[in-house]
Amino acid sequence: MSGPFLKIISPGPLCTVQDEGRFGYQQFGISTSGAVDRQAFALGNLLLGNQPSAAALEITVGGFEVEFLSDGVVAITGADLTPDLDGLPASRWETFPVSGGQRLTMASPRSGLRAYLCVAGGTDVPAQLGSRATYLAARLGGLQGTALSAGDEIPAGPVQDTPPVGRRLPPDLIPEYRREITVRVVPGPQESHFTPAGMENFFGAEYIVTDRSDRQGVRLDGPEIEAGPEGYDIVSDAVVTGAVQIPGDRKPIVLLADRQTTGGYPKIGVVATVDLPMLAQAVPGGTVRFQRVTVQEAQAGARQWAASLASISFVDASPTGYRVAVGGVEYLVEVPRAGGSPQTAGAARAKVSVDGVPYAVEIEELSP
Amino acid sequence: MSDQPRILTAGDAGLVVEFGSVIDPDVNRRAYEFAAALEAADLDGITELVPTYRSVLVHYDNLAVGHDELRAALEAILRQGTAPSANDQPRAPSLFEIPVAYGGEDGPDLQAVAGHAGLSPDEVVAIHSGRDYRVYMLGFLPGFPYLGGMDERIACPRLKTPRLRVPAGSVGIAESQTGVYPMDSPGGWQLIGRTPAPLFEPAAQPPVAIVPGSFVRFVPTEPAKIAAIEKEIEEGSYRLPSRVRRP
Repeated sequence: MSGPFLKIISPGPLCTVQDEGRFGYQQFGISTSGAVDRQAFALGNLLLGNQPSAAALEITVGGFEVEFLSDGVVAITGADLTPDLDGLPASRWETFPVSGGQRLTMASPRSGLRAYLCVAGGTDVPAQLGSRATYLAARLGGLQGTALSAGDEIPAGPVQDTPPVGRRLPPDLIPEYRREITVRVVPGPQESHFTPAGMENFFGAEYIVTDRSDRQGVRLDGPEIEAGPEGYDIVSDAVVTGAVQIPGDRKPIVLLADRQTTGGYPKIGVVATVDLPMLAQAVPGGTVRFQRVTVQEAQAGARQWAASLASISFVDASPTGYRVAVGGVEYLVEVPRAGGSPQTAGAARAKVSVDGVPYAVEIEELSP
Repeated sequence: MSDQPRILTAGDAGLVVEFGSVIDPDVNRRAYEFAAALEAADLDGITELVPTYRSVLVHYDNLAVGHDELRAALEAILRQGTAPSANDQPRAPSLFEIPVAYGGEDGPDLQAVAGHAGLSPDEVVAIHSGRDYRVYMLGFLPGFPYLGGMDERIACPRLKTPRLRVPAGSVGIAESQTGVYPMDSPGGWQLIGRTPAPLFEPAAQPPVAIVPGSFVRFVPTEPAKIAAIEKEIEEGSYRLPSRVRRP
């Protein structure tokens, strides 16, 4: 283990170390935990050339600031929480170098809820029961099993090869996080507990994401989902991530990474694995519709996603250098090849480097 | 019970094999026997098994095996049955003896439970510690045992307002269930006592002290003995007493 790589200045509402999750212990009541948005998390490791099991920081909503203590390469995936590196917009879905002393903030959300700060080599905290994922209820994994707080220092793991810089995800793989989403649901295992009217509401109506949502689940509000004579309690059985529970208040809860291993409410359906990231990124006040699919259709979606990752071709966003002579003095000006900064029509804010020193540049389109 | 097992779809990466819909020792035993048979069959794509009161949840990698193929494989194993092989008798289960300090600060709700039952606190303790409980499953929290078979005379509703922090080791009652909190947690069960015995130790293998299919008995324990046990735990020499349970 090397020295610390970054220090938390401000964790925001909830910042934890997460990875793919802790598997093999659900029979003992131990939740899998791990990144709530598995796709954004996995893409971060893929960009950096990390092992899929490398851990990252999961950042919620904003209010986040870290100081890097040594040089390294990072990538930000998931929600757009307006990342900013030393006063300049930082790229998302793209690997970039950081150096000791630089500060990265993620102040406020533009779209989505959870961002991942992925680090070449992974964030290296001790693994417990085979995983670094923080499981808050059991104080397991992460840094002493707790949410990160100001002053915490996190080391980065060793890197095998030189991590790629300026490697960008192709645009068609970059998810858009919308406030109105439709997710596919495979009915069951207890769909027969619900009345036809209850099923019609679930698959027909629009539900609102409430602020009582967390890493355990997304709690929704909307038309009641009516159960038949068997009611809203069952003899507890095991649950999967993405299961939609209907408790006694008849409003759906979609279970996420920190869900318990078992539950005593009937499950009307389970969200397709490939659509779960939309719920992981759903912000309070946003709306959700559920679309019925067969298990075969949901699995075809999973295979399609895996195939698109297997055949991924990254975009090279490493800067292009130009020699520019101004008043007889020559400068090396480096301009990012693929735009990483937010664009507005006719104007852009970009980072260029002149002789290795970064500058924020406002670019205005001149009328012809 | 001779319910035909049912296979239910739990999304695109889970299948539930259900042996009944009630809390019943025989249904529970069938679930655990099936889980053992499935483990022995070592099918491709299965990532994790979670047996419960009445079912087994089969988690699987849907890129390694499709729903239809796995469902057919599970049906085939169910058809073969899980009859034990010729020469092995069913193994006698373990009985774990959990030392408990009943009442007082350790069991702040003992009086309330006694009041609800119309019994004295001593009678509640005698009834609660007077029988063996089957461990049906673990869930809710790491190592939290769902115990069956509590005497209905000491059944008691949950607290109207759950506590924000129930201390680790607390022994509680909720309706006709009893259980032990392995760690500090919010919770609404009526607390009648507390054990110093650690039920969840992440560094141990397995990380939980009590496993499903075994039995548990609560042993009323004097403060001096509790203090001695706490000292042993601190020194790392404590082991939860267990023995083979003869029917």
